[in-house]
Amino acid sequence: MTENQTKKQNKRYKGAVIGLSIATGVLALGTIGFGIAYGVMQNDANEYGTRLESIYQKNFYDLVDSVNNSEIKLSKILNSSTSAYQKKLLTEVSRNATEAEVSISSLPLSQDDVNENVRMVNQMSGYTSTLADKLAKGGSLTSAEKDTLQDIYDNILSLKAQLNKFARKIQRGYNILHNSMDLESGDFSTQMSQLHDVDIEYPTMIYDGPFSDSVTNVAIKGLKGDKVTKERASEVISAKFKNIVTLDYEGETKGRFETFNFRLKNTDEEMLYVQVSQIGGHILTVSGTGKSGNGTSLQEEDAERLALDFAKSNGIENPKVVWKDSIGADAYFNIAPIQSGVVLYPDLVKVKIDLDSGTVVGYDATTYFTNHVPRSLGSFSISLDSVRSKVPISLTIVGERKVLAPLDYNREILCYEFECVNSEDTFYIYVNGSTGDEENILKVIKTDDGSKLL
Amino acid sequence: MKKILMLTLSMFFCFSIGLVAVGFTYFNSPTPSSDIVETLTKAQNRTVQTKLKRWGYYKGAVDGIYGAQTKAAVKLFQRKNGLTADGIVGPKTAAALGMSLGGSTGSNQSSSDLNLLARCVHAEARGEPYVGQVAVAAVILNRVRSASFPNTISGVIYQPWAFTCVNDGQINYTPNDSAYKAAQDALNGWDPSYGSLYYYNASTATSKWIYSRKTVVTIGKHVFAI
Repeated sequence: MTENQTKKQNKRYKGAVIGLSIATGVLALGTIGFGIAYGVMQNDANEYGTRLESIYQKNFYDLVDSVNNSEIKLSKILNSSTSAYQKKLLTEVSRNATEAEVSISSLPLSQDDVNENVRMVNQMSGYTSTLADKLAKGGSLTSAEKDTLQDIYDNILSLKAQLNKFARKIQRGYNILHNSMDLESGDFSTQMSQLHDVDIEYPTMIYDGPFSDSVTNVAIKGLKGDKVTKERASEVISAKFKNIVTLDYEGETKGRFETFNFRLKNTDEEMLYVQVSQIGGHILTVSGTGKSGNGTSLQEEDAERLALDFAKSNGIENPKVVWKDSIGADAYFNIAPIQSGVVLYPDLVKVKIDLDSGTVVGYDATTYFTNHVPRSLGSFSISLDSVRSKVPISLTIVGERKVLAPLDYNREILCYEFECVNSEDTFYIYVNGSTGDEENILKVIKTDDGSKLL
Repeated sequence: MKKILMLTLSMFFCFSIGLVAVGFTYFNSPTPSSDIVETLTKAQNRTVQTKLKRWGYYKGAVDGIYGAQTKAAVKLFQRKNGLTADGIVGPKTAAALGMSLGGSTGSNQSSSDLNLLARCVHAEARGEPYVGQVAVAAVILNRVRSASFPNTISGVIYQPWAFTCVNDGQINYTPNDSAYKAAQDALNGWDPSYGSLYYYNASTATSKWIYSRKTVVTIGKHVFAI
């Protein structure tokens, strides 16, 4: 190798080294850049994680507070003999239980565990508020009710012990978020599933509050007749709807009601889903939307007549429109049967009419067929004139009717209904027909999407 | 030779780290939020459409739906009035239109329950038949009434992991007209699911537990169960 050759080689070698160094430099810079970006993202993720964990922990501590509070109040109730004091505490326990429900349902738990825990506090809330109502009306706690309260107390006591033990675990650094990434088998769900082992038997005869099991297991009283075939069910639909293009069978419903389901298309291109009861062959529901026009072809009175006719032809006895509203091209009618001049609110039927085609695009008679039986209504022992004075002077009465009102879940009460207005609002006031007590007040709320009763 | 080897090695090292970082950035990049639009209520949309129609910017139907035609009309209006033509009715555009975005007219309540219900229906059941959408809304309302679930619509919908649309952000998409109507019908008491508390897509459900529930009815792709 000559000196020249060696120099050349050295030069080439130097060039390669410089080239590679530059390339490495660029890549290194890139790597540092990516590294920083990665670090920033990790930082963000950690921060979000910490924030979420704080929310979970707050909910958990709120839960501990609510349970601690209700334990103290329940023990006071069990050792008190004054109705007024018991009522005050029961109301507070009910509120604590509601707060506990909100906290539990914000925690990351598997569906099964959260359901059981929520049911426990909801039923506790419902039961205590029912008892508070009873005391407010002048009653007193029976020994059976005190026994149930004792059961609830025992349960709350063990719940309190477990929750407080768990709170100490969190104080030592237990992370709810990390232990609930897998909801079904995560440690947090496992821990919390031990909280609801005790099942309290609520006496259903005494307690028919909002969350009692008897409310969800209501028997169907109004469906009578033989079981029909699905061919017969299809004939029922063909007789009630006009301009049918296709009518296809869509399967059965096997719930509280057993139905044959059909999909219907008419010449107005409207698609309807119709359910016919297997017992008696009545149309139970219709769900659909109209042809989405501007809703100007039909007057509200015409739509009302169509709704009434449809209800009548489906076996609703003595129907009368008791409430109506229209939203866009849809007119909604609530229809109730009338028995000897009394509106039967528990048997309400709902109809939706498309204001362009006049088609019944919505119908619901499940409430009617759940409740409707011929009733012995009894009589009003107080006259309309004597209860009219119950309406405050600030309101003007614009309508009066006799109604059977569904109150307290499974109870029906004869009431006088007064539709009243002042300069801004409309109210419905319900006065008990035998005691003269105000039972309920509903306010008409105007929303962006029609009027509602609250 | 040693130097070259070291250089190559270090390059390879840097390069692989770079690749990992690129991969990480790619998979963790937040999903674009272009679908999430600040939404007006239907009533407000109707006001916008009525005004734009009166002034000749808008030719479509006054239906309260903020569609492509309405957006184009809003853009045109913005351009003519020296506003940023982004097609979104913000405070400035609203002022130019002579409407207020704050409280709606009179003492009307905003129907946030209806809106939330419609969003959930849209995210969970768009593409399903109408009755399937009513049934999804009814399931949410049945949960509100059930002892085993929270007692408000927002409580039920935002219960952790209860609805996938809350986890993946689809709840924030603007609901279409059909979802609104379905939510309205369910609020009015329609329940084609007859008290169902659960529904699942039989072809995609992953939880074995859900199959232990009693089936009530199958509507479209959804199985409704108690």
